[in-house]
Amino acid sequence: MRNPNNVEKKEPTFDNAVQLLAEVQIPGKQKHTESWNEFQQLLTERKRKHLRTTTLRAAAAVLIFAFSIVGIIGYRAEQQIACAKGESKMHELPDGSKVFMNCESELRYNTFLWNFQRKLSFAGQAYFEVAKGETFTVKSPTGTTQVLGTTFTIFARTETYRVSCFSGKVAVTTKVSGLQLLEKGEELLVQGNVPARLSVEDKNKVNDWMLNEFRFDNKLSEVLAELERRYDYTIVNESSLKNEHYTAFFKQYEIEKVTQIICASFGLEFNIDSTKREIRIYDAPQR
Amino acid sequence: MSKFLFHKKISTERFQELFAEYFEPIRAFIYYRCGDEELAKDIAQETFLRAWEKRSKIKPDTVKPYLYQTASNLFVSKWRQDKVRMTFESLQDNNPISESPEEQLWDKELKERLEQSLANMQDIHRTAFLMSRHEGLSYIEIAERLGLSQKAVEKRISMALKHLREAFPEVEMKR
Repeated sequence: MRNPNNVEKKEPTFDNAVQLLAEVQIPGKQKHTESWNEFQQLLTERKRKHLRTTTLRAAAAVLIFAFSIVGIIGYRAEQQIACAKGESKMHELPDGSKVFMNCESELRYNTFLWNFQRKLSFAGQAYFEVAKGETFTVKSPTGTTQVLGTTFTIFARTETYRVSCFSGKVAVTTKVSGLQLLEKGEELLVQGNVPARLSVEDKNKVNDWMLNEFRFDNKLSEVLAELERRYDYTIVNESSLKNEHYTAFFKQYEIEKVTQIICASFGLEFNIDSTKREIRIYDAPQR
Repeated sequence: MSKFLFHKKISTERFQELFAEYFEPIRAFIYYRCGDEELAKDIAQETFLRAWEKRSKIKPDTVKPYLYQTASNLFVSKWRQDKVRMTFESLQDNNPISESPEEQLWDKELKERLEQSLANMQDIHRTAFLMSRHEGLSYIEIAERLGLSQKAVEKRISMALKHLREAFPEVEMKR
């Protein structure tokens, strides 16, 4: 053996060391089958983990894709129909309901979401002919009107919110009035903080723009505001009259003639600048 | 032509053969470098896991250097200590009863001196040296596995021998 069997004790030599190396093994040596079985186990775990991350990634990709599709549809399906001053139009909704819009009105809805819920946003003045079906909701800044299938007109401008029901039943909700149910021929008028239930005496008065007519029964300031919208003119009222009541009924003539009719009944004078689209109204000079 | 461009995916049977043949050498290779039994096993297993995943991309004639290179890369990325401790285990049960206490002491001193000297060696010298003297591989074989020239292997082993000689006295020429 490596230990020289001499009597005298010798120090280990280089050769002893090299020889020893061939006779030892490194720690942790296992039988082949043992190593292989352990490895098989690791491999199965790794595969399972890999499968799990792949599945998660695929799921995430599908989700992102679905969300983008919904987002794109939602964005693309956003509809906005606006009437400028001096313009009125009829818009037919996907369900066949019709909206007759007066000047300076705006309608918004989502054609995709419309399939699930008949809901739109509206500001201005319009006559609605609602096809029979699920609840039809019109949201305006001041209130919300809900119907099933009926005809009604909404006037939603600045301080005034007015809903006139011509057929069927209409549910109107505003902050100041709470929920109000309107039947045929009934009207809810909210002006500022004052709600009032009225009856619709004349359908044509409410929907005068649809007949190309004026049916006034308002304050002078409201009359002039309507003129501004219908003709896209700016009207400067420098007279002493503002809140006088005005009742009249005439065709939608040219702006000059209409102004003349109105001014004549109050004894006012005016001048008109058709290039600037501007009208000045003033008191008649004292004689 | 296609023979050079394409190569067959390593079959499951071939992989099992490779594992049988090289798992222990790879484990030893890492152990030679750091003396850390646990790390050597982890890296050997990880090496073969990677080889399994890449088995369609490994060329059959470069499997050996691929395995050693992968293990080496894994080792470099994982080895965080600088102190190397080398220990070896006796191959067969020595029979302490047959040995005298002096002999046992002598054996112990030899082993400790050897382990100490190896631990202080540069790891590339130690690795090549142990592949040769512990595993009994030829220089050509070592060169192939490590992707080195034969000259480089010779150089490393001679450096290792030089280092080892310093730990032991010269053999007496006289009898």
